[in-house]
Amino acid sequence: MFEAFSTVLSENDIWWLESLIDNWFLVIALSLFVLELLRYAFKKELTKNLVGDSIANFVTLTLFILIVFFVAAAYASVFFYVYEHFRLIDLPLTPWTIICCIVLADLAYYWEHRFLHKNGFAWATHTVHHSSPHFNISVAYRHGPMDWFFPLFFHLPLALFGFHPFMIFLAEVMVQVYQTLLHTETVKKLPRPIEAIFNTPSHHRVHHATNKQYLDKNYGGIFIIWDRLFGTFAKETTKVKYGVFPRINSVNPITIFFSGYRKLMRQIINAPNWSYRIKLLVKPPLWAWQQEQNNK
Amino acid sequence: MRLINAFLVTTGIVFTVSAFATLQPVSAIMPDTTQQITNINKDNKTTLAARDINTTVEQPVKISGITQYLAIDNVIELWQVFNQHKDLQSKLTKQPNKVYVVYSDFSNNYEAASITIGYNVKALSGFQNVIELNQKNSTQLLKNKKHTAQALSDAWQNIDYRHTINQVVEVHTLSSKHTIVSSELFVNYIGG
Repeated sequence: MFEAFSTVLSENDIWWLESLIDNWFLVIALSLFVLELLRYAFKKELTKNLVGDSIANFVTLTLFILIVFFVAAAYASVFFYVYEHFRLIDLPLTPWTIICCIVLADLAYYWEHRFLHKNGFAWATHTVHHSSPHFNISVAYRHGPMDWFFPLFFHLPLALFGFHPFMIFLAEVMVQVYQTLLHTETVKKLPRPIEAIFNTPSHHRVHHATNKQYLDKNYGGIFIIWDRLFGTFAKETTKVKYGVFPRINSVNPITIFFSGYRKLMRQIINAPNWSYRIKLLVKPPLWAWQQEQNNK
Repeated sequence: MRLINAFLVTTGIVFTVSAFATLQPVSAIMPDTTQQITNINKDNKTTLAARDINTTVEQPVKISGITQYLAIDNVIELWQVFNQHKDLQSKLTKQPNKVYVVYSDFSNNYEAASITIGYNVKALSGFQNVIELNQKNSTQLLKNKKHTAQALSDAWQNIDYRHTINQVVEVHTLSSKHTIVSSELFVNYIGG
């Protein structure tokens, strides 16, 4: 059995697997989204706003892909440069290594995600994802303009530890694919052992909540154990209200896509001094909100 | 948990998982095979590889490509033909991840052989003159990693020429850019 996990793969095998997931998962996700829409229609909860919001989500995805098209080569080059010149060890391209890489990529995702919520500049892009008042598969594709930028810093150490860049990209895709499936109200709670170890739709609904007790909780990608371990876990006990404050109240994809950085720019322009401006970029968004409340 | 403690725990997890990745048992088996390995210590002091060899029992790998009987030293000529063989390359259904070089029907002085350079038939839409790799009791002479041409050549010295050779097989793993990233060498003896 161990031999199966130790079979040496080629770069091409890993690239092929990643391309396969990339190409087909969107089709699967779209199919699930159609089922979700049918469910909403059946429950008479399908509103114009929900449809408009969902279309806007896929438009932000298109804008995001357009940006990625221009930066992907540079992004990949950084990983290859670090891997070629600075890797500490040589890890073989085996399924065993892929599993280890996915675990570490998921841990990297946890910290990246936590950072996105705790840093003003990062939150300006991530707030786009959280700004929908709805919660369905299309929300998973609601991207901000700098969403490609931050994973670099948190996943680059994996190249230093000897994981091949293709393997890191595969692991990133696996985490993203898993995360996408969590954006649904259709699945309530899964069996207790699964809820204990893995991130689930229930846990992720909590993450998207504006309810006070749920704020800044459940950052995990595939595993929820990171949140349990690091003290950022909250269980879904009361009905979740989605979105961010202040509300965007728009289904215009351009307004949504740039909402975070437009708000940040406005805050920076209106800031009383440079110290405040730097804090807006560095400190958590909650800090800026508290300052605004104090000034009222 | 305080942030500093969370960072320390994270560092511990990273090193632990990396250690798991580093200490994995890398299989020394022929690629593209169903693995069922038994380690056998063979009492044969004339070859390095034979001191601790892996015997594989698996489904056969079938190769198709171009074949010529020529001097082993001139194999580069066959590589040139192979690389420019549009008919073969056009039959690829997906980008191949391995290319095989099979030496068989050796001359008496082992200077010439029937040499086939090809792909696993699974990667081809159509194929002729299929060669089945005789993996039963194959002995690995070079492990799968990046080797110099000299290392590959030197590994031939580890063949036990007292036995009759059935096949010598080079397996080259290819990158997405179709360049060789690692190689393995196997020998199979008649009655071995």
